[in-house]
Amino acid sequence: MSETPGQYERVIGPPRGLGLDIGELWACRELLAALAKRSILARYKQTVMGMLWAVVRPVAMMGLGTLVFGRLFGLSGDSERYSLAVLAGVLVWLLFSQCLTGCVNSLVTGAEMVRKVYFPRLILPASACATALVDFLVGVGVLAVVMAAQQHGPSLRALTLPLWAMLAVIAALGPGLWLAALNARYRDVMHVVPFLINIGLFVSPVFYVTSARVASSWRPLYALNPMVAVIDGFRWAILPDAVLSPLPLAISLAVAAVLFVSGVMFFQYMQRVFADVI
Amino acid sequence: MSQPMIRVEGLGKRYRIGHKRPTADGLRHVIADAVTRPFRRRIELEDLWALRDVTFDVAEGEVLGVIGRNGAGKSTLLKVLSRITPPTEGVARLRGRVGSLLEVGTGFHPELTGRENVYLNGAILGMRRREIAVRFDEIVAFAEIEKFLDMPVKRYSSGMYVRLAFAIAAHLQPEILLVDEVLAVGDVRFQKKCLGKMGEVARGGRTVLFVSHNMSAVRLLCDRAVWLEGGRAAHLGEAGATVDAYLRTAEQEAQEGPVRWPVFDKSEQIGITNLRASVAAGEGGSSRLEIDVAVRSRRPMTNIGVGVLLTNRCGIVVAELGPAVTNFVIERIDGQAHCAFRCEGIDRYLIGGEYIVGIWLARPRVEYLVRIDHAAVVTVPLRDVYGSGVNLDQQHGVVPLPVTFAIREP
Repeated sequence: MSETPGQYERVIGPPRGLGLDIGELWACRELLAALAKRSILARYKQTVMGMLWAVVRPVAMMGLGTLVFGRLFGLSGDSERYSLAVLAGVLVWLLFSQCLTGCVNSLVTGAEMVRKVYFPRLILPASACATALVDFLVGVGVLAVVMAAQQHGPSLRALTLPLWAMLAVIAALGPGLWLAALNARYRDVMHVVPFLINIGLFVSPVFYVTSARVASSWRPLYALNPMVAVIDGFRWAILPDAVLSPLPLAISLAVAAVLFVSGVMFFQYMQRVFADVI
Repeated sequence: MSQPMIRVEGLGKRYRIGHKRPTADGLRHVIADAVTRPFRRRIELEDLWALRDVTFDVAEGEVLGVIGRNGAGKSTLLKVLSRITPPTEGVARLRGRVGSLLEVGTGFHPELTGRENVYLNGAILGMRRREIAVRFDEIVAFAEIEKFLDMPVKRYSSGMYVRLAFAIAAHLQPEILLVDEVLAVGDVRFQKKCLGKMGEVARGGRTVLFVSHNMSAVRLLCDRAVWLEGGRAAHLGEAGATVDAYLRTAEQEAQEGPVRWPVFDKSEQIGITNLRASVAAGEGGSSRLEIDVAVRSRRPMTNIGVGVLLTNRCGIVVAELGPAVTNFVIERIDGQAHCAFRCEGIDRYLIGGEYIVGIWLARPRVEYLVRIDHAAVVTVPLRDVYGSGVNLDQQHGVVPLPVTFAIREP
């Protein structure tokens, strides 16, 4: 009998490298869709309002934000369309925070699957992001309605919207993957995340506009938070008076990219022990 | 001869176990650990080889049994072969799609309907949407849940739930099927279905790896078997021979009382602290089987099933008293509980000789918590059932059937 290992489709050995197999990930896209569908369906089962919740959240946050920060604290500044700017900020922020939370919890929520079935573990955080994107799409619908009501037509810049949404997801996946992998072992992480998100809400330009509120000498430092570029970019895409300066943008992008790549690597490194420690 | 479907060479899986490590290792412990480390001697890490130097081939269409006591590495072997956890050394090569009946119902979401769960679970098991759509009606018919398709599975009875889950797994049609009978808790009918499906798969020329505690099933269904002991293959060969070798050792050890009580579950929350099994003289000259089990829990728990297994010398399970069947459960436990199994007139039901007593704790129909198949040995007295002067023993069968004999006039 001749030794023809090539004939075996599946060779199982000690882990070497990071085992990142893009082709395999692609082959699992149906699983990703099924998991995302599961969480969307399950989330709004036995609720009266169903998907309407995806509308209520951003609208309520926009209303509150405009009222508290705009009127009470006078953060609305010279921007004429403060409420629209807040809505844009809130939408991206919700996308980011939902991605991050979903990502971190995804392994623990799917612990049973991790212990019992093989599939590329990256599918779990990815499906959490897909779920958040659906809510985000509903939010963009709300945004369109509000823009129409304010008789504010979008410019060609609006075509870059998907880009900023993707960037928000990537910005969330970076820390999300790090924390998800850590959370598999140390459940403390789960308790840190809401706290991080609360802090993030204030150090990101959700309820204020960067160009109006942050001194230009501080902006490069401020841009170390990747969500700064994401929110500014998103606003730039829909508001004619929004400004997007290149240096902070580049810094934010670089930070997001470093976090994302290192996050994927760390996650892949840790995933070999997920089934044993989770 | 064609290439084997599964080729396992020198497979090993090591777990690092730190002593005095808290079971709940939160970040706090890690930080506390890091702070105090310089002032302490280093924590001794112990290597635990759950699997070591395991080598075997499985040919196409062959059914290989995997036997061994708990913790011998059987489940780890399946986990490695299904790629859930990577091996530490060695290599396993497989041809074709691997399916397993150990992941029945994985990923089921209670809020979703039966229909939604079929697609979801199918995707988790690696089926394409199209594939599921083609087999959808077949799956539903097999599970006998047509009427409840659009009801959330949280409203299903546990029987319906298991049937649906099993139906999906059974229709995966893999080239290699991994079956862990230990995990296939459920009612007897379900277990039979499980075994039936396995036989069908094997007859269809596909390859099966069958982990079981049921020696007669292994003898019956498997061509060859491997006996794992402490992570190593203690015996590999024809199924009957492997089972015999295993049983000889198991019986010997059970007699010597190798089980050191207490035995706790994985989470160290509940366990058996003592077991006493004997056959005593009962009423009217008959014998009484007495099994006393002391159970201890470290926190309040409810609905803990207690099961007993009696195996004869040929490895035939003569009685499997599972909580799903008997409803012998401890409804509430917080601390100690004593369970007493009694069978009056055991010698009327069982032929004389030695029997191996197994014991387990379980969440009925969900999972085993502790399972020891060879916990003790009891001896049922030999009896001259037919008044012929011959005492029957296990050479003469399993039950002392009280048969009468008469010659009738034509």
